[in-house]
Amino acid sequence: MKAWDLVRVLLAYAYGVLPYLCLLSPLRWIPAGHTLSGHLAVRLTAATAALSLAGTILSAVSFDLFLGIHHLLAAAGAAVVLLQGGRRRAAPDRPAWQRFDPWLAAVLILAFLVRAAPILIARASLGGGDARFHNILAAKILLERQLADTWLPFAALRVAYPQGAHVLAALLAEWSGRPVHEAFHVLLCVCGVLTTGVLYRIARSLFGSEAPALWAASLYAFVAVLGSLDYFRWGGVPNALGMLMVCLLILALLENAPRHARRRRAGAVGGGLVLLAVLRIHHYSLLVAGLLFLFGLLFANDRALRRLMLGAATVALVCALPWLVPRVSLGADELAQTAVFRFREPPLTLFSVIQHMNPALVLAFVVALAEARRRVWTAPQLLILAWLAGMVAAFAALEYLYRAASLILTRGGDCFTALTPSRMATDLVYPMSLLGGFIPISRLWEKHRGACLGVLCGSAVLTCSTLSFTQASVGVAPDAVSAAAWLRAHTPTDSLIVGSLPHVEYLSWRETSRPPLPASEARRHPAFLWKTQRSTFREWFAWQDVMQRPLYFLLAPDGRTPPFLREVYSNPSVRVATTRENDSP
Amino acid sequence: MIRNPTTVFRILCGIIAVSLAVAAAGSILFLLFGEFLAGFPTDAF
Repeated sequence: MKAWDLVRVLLAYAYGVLPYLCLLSPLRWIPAGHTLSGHLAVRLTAATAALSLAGTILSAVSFDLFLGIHHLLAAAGAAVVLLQGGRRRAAPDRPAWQRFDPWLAAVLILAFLVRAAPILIARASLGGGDARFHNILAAKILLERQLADTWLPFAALRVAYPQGAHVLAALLAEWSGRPVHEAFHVLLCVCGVLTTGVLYRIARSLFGSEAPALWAASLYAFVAVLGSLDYFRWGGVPNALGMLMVCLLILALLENAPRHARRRRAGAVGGGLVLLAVLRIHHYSLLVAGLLFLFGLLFANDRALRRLMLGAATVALVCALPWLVPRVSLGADELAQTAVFRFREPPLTLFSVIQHMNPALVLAFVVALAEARRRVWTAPQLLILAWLAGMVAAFAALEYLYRAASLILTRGGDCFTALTPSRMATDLVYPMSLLGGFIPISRLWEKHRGACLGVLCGSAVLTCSTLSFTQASVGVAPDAVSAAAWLRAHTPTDSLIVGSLPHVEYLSWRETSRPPLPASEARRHPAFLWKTQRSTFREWFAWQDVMQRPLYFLLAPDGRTPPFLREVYSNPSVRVATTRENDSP
Repeated sequence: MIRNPTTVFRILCGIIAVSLAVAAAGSILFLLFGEFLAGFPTDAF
């Protein structure tokens, strides 16, 4: 991706969030904070949540309606700014949040640069892992001009995945004129920066001073790999965006709980709406927020905080009914056809989790917890620890106990897990980074301040520089791109491609026999299984006789083409062959 | 509601410790039977 293209997408993002930034500014449940950078990060996050929520609601009817209403909101936002500008000129005092904090600003700018480096180095990246289906969903929104209802033409299945992140990517792509995968790249950078800012604000609220907040924000921005710098590798934009909203929700809870009743009610409504945005962006982040609420309600020793959590959950539940009722009414049958409770991923050892998180982050967290063990923990600090305990318990239960149960119940015939435990490990870095903030208020810091800072800076430089270069090859597949371009240009639109290459569906817009679908989709539905269960040429020819659709096969680059096929395209990574009766023109 | 923060802290640390013990035991089993577990298919697309 070129630097100018990145700027174009950023400008589109700015136009997207500015109206909401202006319209949300009078709301008091979004706390003002102590510094300009932190204040902006929180406001931008709230504006992004509002934009995404509005996008999913309006685009369910029409994407063009969403765009049209956005222009009206931009005008309304400008009016609010003008009105507030007049009032502000009359006020003699300068608000505390207008204080510029150069350290936080530097952390946020660096956080953006280290995330932008791999996408600028890897100019032709289409995104890693999950980007294969995220790109499809966002491209479908642009093509069909509304939220994707089905996975057609790739699979005759209903879309269950929430599209809050995809509608944002589609919006940025529409306004910037860049493809959706580049919009996702920029969204990932923006999410990293905003999460750093919001975590700073949460840590500021937890510890009451600047140094622990900066430490926690820096741990997340530069040291955490899983759940932070690693998002680009597996293309987890909805996870990053969903967790950003969960962080905003935590901040709303912590900042509004100690206030008066009226402010708490506003906090409950605001928190509920943020939770609703999480529901429309990423179901797994909603699960993580659910753990926060469950363990928070069980262990938070502050009545106001518990009431606020209950209030926010109630508001979210009531507002979410239009989406939840149809999902619940589908029943257990549809859920059984997904991989939600029967997901086969490679087993994760504790050692590999630590390795993926970054041992330096785990070390910082363990040292922080050991140093803080003799302190009297405040209710907000206990809430974060309860959240962490909930996630660790869920991870252990899903990855080890559930997997063991699956082996026992199938008598060694199958080994699967539920609710993708690797994602739980990914999301653990958020509370770990926050609690790492205990270090700058510990005795260790008093005695070895220079050494602590040296270790942080050293591990940050090592982590960021290593990842910038190792991630430069993520999603770069020139042979797959040229094969997909050939398929798009030379095959009929109703062709079926047997086999798959990374991103070939997104680029060629042709149905393949193995389309990438997330675990939340009905991958065991007969409408999908018929493709994955065919394995021989004979079975495919029998299918073609019935369906009368052109068939193309993706073959390995080395090896002989069977005599009943004709090779029509090849490059160093793949060959395309077809049956003799549908030779390409 | 448990009001004493030290008690809450200890309970939460206990939950984390038990979970980590389960994870450590599971990890050792994964390492011991890695070859057997590697034989199962994955849902990667």
